[in-house]
Amino acid sequence: MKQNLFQEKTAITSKSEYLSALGRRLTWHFPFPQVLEILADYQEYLSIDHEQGATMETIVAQWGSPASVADKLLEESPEAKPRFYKHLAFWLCVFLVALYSYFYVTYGAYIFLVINSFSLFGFFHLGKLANIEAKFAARDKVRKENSIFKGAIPRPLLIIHCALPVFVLLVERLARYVIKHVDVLPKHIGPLQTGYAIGYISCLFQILVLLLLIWAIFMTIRTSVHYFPAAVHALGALLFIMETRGIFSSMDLSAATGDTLLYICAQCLAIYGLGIALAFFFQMLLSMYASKDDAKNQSTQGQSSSQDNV
Amino acid sequence: MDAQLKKGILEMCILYYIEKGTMYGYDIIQNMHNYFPEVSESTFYAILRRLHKEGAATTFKGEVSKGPSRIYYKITEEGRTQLEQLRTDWKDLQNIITEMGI
Repeated sequence: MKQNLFQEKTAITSKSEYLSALGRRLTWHFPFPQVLEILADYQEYLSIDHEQGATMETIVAQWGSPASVADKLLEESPEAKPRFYKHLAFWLCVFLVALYSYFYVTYGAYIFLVINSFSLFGFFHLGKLANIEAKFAARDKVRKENSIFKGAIPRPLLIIHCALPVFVLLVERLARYVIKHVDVLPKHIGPLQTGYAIGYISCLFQILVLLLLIWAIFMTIRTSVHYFPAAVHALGALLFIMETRGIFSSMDLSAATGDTLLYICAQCLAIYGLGIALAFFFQMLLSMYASKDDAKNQSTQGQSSSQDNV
Repeated sequence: MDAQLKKGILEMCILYYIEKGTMYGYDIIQNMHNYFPEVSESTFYAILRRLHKEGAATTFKGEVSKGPSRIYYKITEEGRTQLEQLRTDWKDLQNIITEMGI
């Protein structure tokens, strides 16, 4: 666990980056008010070092990486709950139940299970993480360094959000083509049954979308909570393609009527729609946090400058 | 050095340090770091935080003319008894070691 996905970046170039990395780690283990306390202390101490002319490199060398700080705090807090493992256990349960319902329960149950769990996670964690990022502002850096359009949208986000609809559209076109020409399609393409062959093609898309989903989750954990809506979007697309593919490979296409297939196709698209709607919802939630924070920052800046004037 | 033993010593040092007077968190950490350069600042912070949680130290906010308010640490009665205990433990240990002639 320490080595791979959750390892912090080795080069931390700013105080805010350090604090938000620390905050992301601590939220897995400590109750939220305590996380804010610790971060406030560290913000204070690091700024003193900073004022005394220490570079970020020496600061990290002195205080340790965010990961090691979290470990030390955990060592000294025997009462801290192993929240991280609780999360892992939770997702493992979701995964197992989803897997079970994918194979044994009637159509669609696993989709709602997975989407609901994602939303639950979003509700409980998004606020906390967004709050930390807003208070200790890593957001601006993410925005500036990694973005197109004058810092409006980070590049990975743009790639994910644009690539997903393309994949979904391609799979959907494929499905519609098959439905329209179901009577004239050959029973076999090469050695494969037609249904299976189409299933394999959509499997390719499924892998591509899965990669995007993993990327989005990775960025959410590593960089910023602002990648979370992209993960939800990718999840919607993944479930859509899985469903479509499942139908193709399980059905005897020559026996199915065009109408039922069209109906099922529309149902699948509705899943993608749900994904987009949820992603949009979380995006709104995040920009709400961001604008609230901007307003707060402006007012405190205004106050401090007026104090200076006095 | 054994981690447990070292932690006990560091704890004693921090308690002794704040017994002498009210201290700003950053100053405690930096001073302790000067005495124990190989121990990272975050270790002291973590111990300080635990002492505060256990009730051995209290905190209060002090205003500074410039910048945000600072959090100061102060020893409590509980902290004093804990320090006394640690001191006697440490002296006993020292006596044993000298008795053994190590």
